[in-house]
Amino acid sequence: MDPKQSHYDVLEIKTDASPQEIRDAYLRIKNAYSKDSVAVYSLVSPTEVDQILKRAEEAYQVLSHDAHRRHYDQGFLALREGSAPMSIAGDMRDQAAGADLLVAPKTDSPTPHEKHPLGMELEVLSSISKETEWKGTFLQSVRKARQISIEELSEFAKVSKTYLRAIEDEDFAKLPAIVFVRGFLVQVCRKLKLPEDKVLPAYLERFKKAKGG
Amino acid sequence: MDSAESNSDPLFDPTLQAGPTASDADLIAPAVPIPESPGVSHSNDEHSLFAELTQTPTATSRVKQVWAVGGGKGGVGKSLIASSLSIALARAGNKVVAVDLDLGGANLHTALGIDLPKQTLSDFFSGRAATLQDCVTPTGLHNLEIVSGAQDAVHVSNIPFEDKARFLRSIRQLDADYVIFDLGAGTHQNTIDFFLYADVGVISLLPEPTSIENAYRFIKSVYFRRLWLSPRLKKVRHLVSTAMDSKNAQGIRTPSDLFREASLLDDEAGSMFKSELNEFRLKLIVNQTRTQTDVDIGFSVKSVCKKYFGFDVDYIGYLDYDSAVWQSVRRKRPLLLEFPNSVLVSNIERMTQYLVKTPKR
Repeated sequence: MDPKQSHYDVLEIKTDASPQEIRDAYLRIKNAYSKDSVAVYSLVSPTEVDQILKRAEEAYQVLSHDAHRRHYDQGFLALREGSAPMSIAGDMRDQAAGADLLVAPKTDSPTPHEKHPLGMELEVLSSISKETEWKGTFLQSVRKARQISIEELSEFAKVSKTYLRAIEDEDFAKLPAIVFVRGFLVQVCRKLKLPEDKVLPAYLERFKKAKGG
Repeated sequence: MDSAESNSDPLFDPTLQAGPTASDADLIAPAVPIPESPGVSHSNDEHSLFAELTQTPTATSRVKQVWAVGGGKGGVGKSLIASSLSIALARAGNKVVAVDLDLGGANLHTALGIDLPKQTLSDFFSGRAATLQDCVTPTGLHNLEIVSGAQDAVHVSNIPFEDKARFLRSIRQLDADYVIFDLGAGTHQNTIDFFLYADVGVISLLPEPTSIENAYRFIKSVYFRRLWLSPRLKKVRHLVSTAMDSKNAQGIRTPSDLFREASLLDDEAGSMFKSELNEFRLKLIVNQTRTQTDVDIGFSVKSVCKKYFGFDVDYIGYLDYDSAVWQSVRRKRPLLLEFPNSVLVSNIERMTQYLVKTPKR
């Protein structure tokens, strides 16, 4: 994969794609390059697959968030316009926006959209691997970083918003028996892409203590 | 064109060189020697044929479009799809000739529900039939005729270049609105060429690893062959030849490697490469789908082609597995006639309408 592909190229969508189209495109890529996809293995190496998935994830993080997308679009369009007269191949690339697997080395322009300050939120996502406590506040910050509303989570998990808020606030008194809370957490982990095997023991430990004490 | 058919050596047909589009440069040997690699021979012949067939409009031809159905693997429904598309086109009022190019394994006639015709492509290739039109046999269905595949010694791998050229030139002379090719399995160069010279190339695959693998192999062959034939990429042709050998010493492993090398060698090659890829318009059908996962394989293959080869594949639809309907094949009755109201048939009709509307590539 060419590192200079735009987020739109990575997701194979037009630059005016709607949020729904972006989401669909992202899910399609995730599916196409999943571990058990039969459509990939004979042509694309595992390293390339990982790379594609990583790029798709980055692209989705930016494009699925209105403000980040606007910010990205500004930088991205400015660069496209700026690089247009560089060479024939450069022209071609600008005309064929959205088809940039192949970019000639001749047209090396300053890499577009290198770093976009996603600030706090990216930090939260990158800290997932180091997390040990899995407190309600942390779950909430991950949810926000992934731009998932409590309503969305509720719809996905089939758990009421009250319970979800109680989980995030660690307001254990409002929560039902542990067996239910365990079920809720499993759903939350799935939606937030968190490791169940780590979140559940840590969180439920606190829950048990609070209930027992 | 008539003179070309009767000429024993069509390559020196004067009409070839008289055409304003076939430049002299195409007819002389390239400055850079082309390394020997499998399937690369008669370079000048192949390239002038390509220029002739793709750049010279045949004003007198009745044929609107040639469609080819291929896919690498056997048993993926090529004959079924080719026959169904043919019947759907014929029923929509077009005069159709279906051509069985599965030489050595011809069975399109069976898919159309008829016995093996007396005249086949063997007669054309052996010279017993004077023209391709002489091999056209009625199917009993209104508007639909067939040129059956060769039955005996003629195999797709042993058609000499001259015969292939004569065949390809004859296609546009057929008395038909649409010509449909049913290709054989495998990626023999002749099969790839029949696919490439069609206006619409349809690839059929099943949602199984083996079928997908072979479809990629087929697409890869089409990709390299097309780039190799392209007059626009003449200066970097030797690199294309190198890339065709996947274990080449220069380390050109993937299409993006090839693109990078070509761009480094020649300033314009990068943009030429891109315009060439923009002209690729493969159509994809996933056959015998049972679940949504199977249907989604079409989207996955589309994405992989975009990311790996850099061209768009048009996923035009899928055909659900339906055991009742597949029985029609066993009874040697065309699907469209046995189950005119099935979902399967309406899907085929929708694809046909879509393809008719698609402009030439």
